[in-house]
Amino acid sequence: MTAIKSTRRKFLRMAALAGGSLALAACTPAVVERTVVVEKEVEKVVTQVVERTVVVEKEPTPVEQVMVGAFDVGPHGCPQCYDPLKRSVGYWWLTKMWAPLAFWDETGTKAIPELAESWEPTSDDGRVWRITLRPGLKWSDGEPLTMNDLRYQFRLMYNPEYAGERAVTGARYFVGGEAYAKGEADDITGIKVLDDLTIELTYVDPMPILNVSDIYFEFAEHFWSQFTPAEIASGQHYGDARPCCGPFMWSRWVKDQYTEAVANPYYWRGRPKLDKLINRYFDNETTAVLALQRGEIDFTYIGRDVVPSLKRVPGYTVIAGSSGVANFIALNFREPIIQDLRVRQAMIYALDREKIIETLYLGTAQKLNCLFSQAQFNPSDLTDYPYDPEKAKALLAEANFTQEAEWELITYYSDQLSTNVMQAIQKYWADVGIKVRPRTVDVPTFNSFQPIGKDWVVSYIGQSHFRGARDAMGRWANDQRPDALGECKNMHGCYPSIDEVTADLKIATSSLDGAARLEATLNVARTMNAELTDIWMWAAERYGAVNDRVKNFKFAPLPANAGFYDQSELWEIVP
Amino acid sequence: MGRYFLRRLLIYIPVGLLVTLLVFTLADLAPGDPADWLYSPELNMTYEEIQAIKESMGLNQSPVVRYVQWLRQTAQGNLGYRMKNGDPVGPLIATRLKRTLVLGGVATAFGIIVGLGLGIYTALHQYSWFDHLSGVLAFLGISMPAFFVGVLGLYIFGLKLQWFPIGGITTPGGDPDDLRDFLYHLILPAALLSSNHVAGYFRYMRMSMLEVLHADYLTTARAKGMRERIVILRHALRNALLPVVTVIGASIPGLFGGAVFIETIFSWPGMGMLFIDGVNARDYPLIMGVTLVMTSVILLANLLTDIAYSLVDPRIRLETRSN
Repeated sequence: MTAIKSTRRKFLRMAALAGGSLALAACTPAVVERTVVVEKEVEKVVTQVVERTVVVEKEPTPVEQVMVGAFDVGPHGCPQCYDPLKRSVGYWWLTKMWAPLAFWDETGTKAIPELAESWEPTSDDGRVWRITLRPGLKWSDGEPLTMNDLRYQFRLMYNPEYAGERAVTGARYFVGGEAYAKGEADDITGIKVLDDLTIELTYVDPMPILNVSDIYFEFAEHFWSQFTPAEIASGQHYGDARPCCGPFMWSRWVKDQYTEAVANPYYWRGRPKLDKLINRYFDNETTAVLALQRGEIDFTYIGRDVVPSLKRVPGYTVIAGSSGVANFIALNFREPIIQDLRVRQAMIYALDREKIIETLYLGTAQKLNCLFSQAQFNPSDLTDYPYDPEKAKALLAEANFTQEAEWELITYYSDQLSTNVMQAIQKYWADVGIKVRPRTVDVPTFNSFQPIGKDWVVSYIGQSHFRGARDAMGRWANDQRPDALGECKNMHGCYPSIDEVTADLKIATSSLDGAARLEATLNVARTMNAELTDIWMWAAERYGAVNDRVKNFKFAPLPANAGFYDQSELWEIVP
Repeated sequence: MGRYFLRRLLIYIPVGLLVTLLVFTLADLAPGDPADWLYSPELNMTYEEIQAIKESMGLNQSPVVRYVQWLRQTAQGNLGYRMKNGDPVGPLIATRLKRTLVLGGVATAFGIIVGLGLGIYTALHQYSWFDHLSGVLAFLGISMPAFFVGVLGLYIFGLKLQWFPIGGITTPGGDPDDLRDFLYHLILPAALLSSNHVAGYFRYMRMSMLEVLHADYLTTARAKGMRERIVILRHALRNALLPVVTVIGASIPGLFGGAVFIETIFSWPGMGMLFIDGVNARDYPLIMGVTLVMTSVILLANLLTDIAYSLVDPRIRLETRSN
């Protein structure tokens, strides 16, 4: 008998071979069986006399309806922002699970009742509002949803143990709110539950319009009351299976990868057609677009740069919507030369805004001559400022315009389209003798110096304006930034007619007279246009792309990714 | 050796403290803070709201107080909580580090195996067509930036050929603990990340091998009648490996930092992405936590490299000054 000689080399070879084979086997992609449909089942029935075959036709097993989207990619997406204290944007995805009292419509101008049946002021001074819920609402665990949940949520949000110093800034709008937030009272007297369906809110100041679209039902009292406010604030329970009231309910959160929600059988509009809705997280738009084209996801926000190429790919629909954001070149009136109206007029006459819209935005942006793009806030007597470089040169010469040094044109927009826009502005202004150098900084850097008017002369920015004058308060009203430089406490400094604009903004946001509010807003628009408080540019569109297999899909890129009625209960996958 | 080890460790404590102090100071001097990150410039947030956020985050305290607080907390074994979302920093780094080490480890291992193999082969077949081809490919591998390689790889192998998924570490909706699914997501980013390693190690190995192949002691070895295979493997390779091992050793700490571009493009939640996220959000506890871990790893790696030298090269002895 011959002995088989085993050497170290042979052993190592065998081990390497086995290891390699195992690695290859392990790396084989998992076979994902997405659909199992049994179309036919053949049953044999044997009798004593004759053998016969019976074919039983069965109903097709329903395919699980799963939609994967990148709902938080793009401006104002807020991936994994499940802590209300740590978010200021990214509400669209949240409304899939936690419904508001009302949704915005797709234009962001009209409220569509969601959980609330009605809301109305019950006092002549506009300080008391009564909100009524739809009857029969339930949380996703079957427990009734009542106004006690909303009161619990308010108490939690304004509890210093939960919100710290932020409790007071939120609570002070309600009567008795500040005392509660400071721990001096046990309850907020201005928030009263009249019955399960009705709550009465009493505000310190008149509230001409109540934005119920900003009030979400996020905290079910029967679930969250098991934790102390401090425990909730620690953020350790946001991943728990907590009750929801939107069309979908919380299922799973694989951190840094995706959140999975499943159909909520108790949703008041009825159980959604989709079984699962998954929000996948991408760190960059390019990868999200590739995943869309590959079919791994069904929806993502897309930048203007990829719209033309994606439109050529069959099987996808590019959806455009108004961004609700006005783009303009903000001016800092702390720079003496900016105070000369002729210089500001030259700056706007020097820009061919139509050409930029036509070439860079492919005609999809709306030219602006004041902050507002809405027709009702644009009086007919606004000056249009058409492109006229010769007039711009003459105005600059008349004003003896000189620049000691090149100005930085600062922005926080880092996408390619905005870079191109900045370069176009640089070129147009250079043609008439205004020298600027584009500079892009990140958002924290921008926010650290721009709003207080420090170290800049011109900056290319955007401002949400879909709520009309309310959105203008922060930047244009005086005394809005106590830390701002100089006499006037706002971004711009002392621009012409600042006192008139501030007075008009106050009327436009607090008067109970609708006609007076509108007139004040129109006055603001006129001043912004005539005095050129800023160089008005455009309101651009923003885009999403969806796989055509998703039916009934709606997308609206509202500022802050605000929740709108997207009829997600009707979304459906049709192969 | 023991005393040397202990002495070096003691020196590292003030070095580590100095690094954290330096990073904290730089982060604090950088414009913007976590509250400035939190709100979009396009929204209308009041001054009071912003100030309340800053206060609730403790940003109104002096930098010295904040640094001492962080230090005290860290000394108690707690790296703090992210300002962005409240996640505990320690466990977060541990999770991200694992993913980064897997990605970087596989890429480096692949780089070593293929790079060294190619280097040896091309040195032995200098000026062959394969040598020239490898040289061109290595040049490409080193020259192409990681973000370009990443996007190109995703486009070709993910979108066009559909061999691999488009990023992520798990299939959404599937079992997040499925090892096969994880490996399926790992292959493409690891392979693309390794392209740079392969090119680098190949060039070092080839150069080092070529230098050794012309050494006198190899001629002597051949003259003694040794088989060519023994000459190459036992004499040439072992000597040629010494400088290459140094290069590989120096790259090990880099594994812990993560591959920022590849991780970002592939949505691979590792240390690179985490650190960038921390810097973007001015998330001081996270920046400090990552810095501390990275500093410790680099200092430890330096110490281990010194020790490894003394073990590999008998000419080097580790001695304390008193000895």
